[in-house]
Amino acid sequence: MNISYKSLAFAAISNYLSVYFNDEEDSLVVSKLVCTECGENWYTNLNECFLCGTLNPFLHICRECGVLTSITSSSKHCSNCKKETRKVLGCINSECLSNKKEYSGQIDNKGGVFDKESGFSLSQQYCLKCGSQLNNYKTRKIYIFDPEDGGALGVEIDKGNYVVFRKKEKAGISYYYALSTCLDGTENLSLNKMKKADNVKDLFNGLFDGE
Amino acid sequence: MKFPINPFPDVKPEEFNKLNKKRVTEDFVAENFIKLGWRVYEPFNDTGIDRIIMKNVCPNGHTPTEEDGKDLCKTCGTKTMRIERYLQVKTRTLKDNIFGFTLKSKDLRTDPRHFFILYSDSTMDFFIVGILDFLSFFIKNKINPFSSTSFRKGNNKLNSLKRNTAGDWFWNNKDFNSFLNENGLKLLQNEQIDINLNKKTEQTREYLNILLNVFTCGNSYTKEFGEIINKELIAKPNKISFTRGRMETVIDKIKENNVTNNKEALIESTKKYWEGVKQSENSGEEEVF
Repeated sequence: MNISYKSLAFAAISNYLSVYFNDEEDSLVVSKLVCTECGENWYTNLNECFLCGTLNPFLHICRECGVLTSITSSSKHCSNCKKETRKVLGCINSECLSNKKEYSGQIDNKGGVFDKESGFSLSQQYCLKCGSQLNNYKTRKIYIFDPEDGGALGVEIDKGNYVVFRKKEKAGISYYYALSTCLDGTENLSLNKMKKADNVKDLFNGLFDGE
Repeated sequence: MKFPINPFPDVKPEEFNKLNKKRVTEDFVAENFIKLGWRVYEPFNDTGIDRIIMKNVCPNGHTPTEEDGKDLCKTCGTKTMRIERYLQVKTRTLKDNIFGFTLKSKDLRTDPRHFFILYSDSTMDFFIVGILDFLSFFIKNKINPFSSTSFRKGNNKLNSLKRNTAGDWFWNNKDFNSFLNENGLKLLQNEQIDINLNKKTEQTREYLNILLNVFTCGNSYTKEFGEIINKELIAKPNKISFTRGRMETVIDKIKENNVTNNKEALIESTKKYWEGVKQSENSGEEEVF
């Protein structure tokens, strides 16, 4: 992979995108799993309570006094009630069945809802923003060019993909992008026919706008 | 058409062991799809998807499985459409004629373009199973591999896919040959998945909810406890209610906790972990938290 593509690949990863490539093509494929309804990113590594869907807060809950503590604390003693009691990786929703006294014991014995041993959490099932349960992949194939190379595409771009020009300007790098079907690869390209992004984050947002 | 073939004639697939087979088997899968006209993309980092594949096909289903449809259909002249598939490859060597593998809840997405490639290297067999067909198979045959505690713990090994001496495959004695090799290829290339993407996404979720909202107690919990949990799951099929975003709701819960003093520090800690999880999704690190 040439360094232009590699640079954009790392930028894509830092913007929560997955990156794919094919050694025989001069292109990059960027993809993300998003909510079908609102487009919010979907994170399969994020866990939620199996019983009430509340997200993992990454906190310990003291079953004696209810105080919350960071999971980085190694102390077995509760900082509030000073008792050496069982701190659990519990659900933070007080209404959750896992927090009802008559039922919590069995889950707490396994370390709490978010302890892997309990088997009481699932990968994200609801959108973080709108609560939808549907997710789909959104994928863009992009070709990167430098206008200093003459402005012509020089390679055949298959339709439905994106062309990105990286241009060094006084204020930094700007990006110009367009769907390949809007461009004629045989002519010199005019950047003013393309959309402009002032930074790489805006570039990726622009590429994933709409369908 | 013979499918799959061994694209690497200098080495037999089974010569690699489970510690060093990932690269060769994923390339084995990739080369087989390239020969059938698919454009194959490999991950820059190790993510949940092992390959993305793309192909142009006739929207009327005329494109043979061994060809790329180019711009126009050779049969009806219709403009072709690009289809994309998201592949998770699981390669195993049979033990006692069993193909054993693990599925986690993070492997289950609602996009019907998500496919599992179950590759039995010792018999050179591919199962090509779309998520929707997979779930449909389980529901139709009253099988639920996702209700157990071990599934939610992430260590539920599925040992139900078996090959008999005649070379036929079964899942819990139910015929599984419809996903095998050429049969699976036809399912993979089914353009109706893309044409009806929204409807099939909703159908996938419907099936997922049926299978995920069941609790089997196993040895970890008492039977009585299991009954209470299942009652709760039936009573509240839609688990969450929305007044604010889900992360904001957790932050609110921390703020509402009356016995905790250093709430701002805890909120920052929680946000830091969430950010780590988000970054781990595409950085190639597997479930770091």
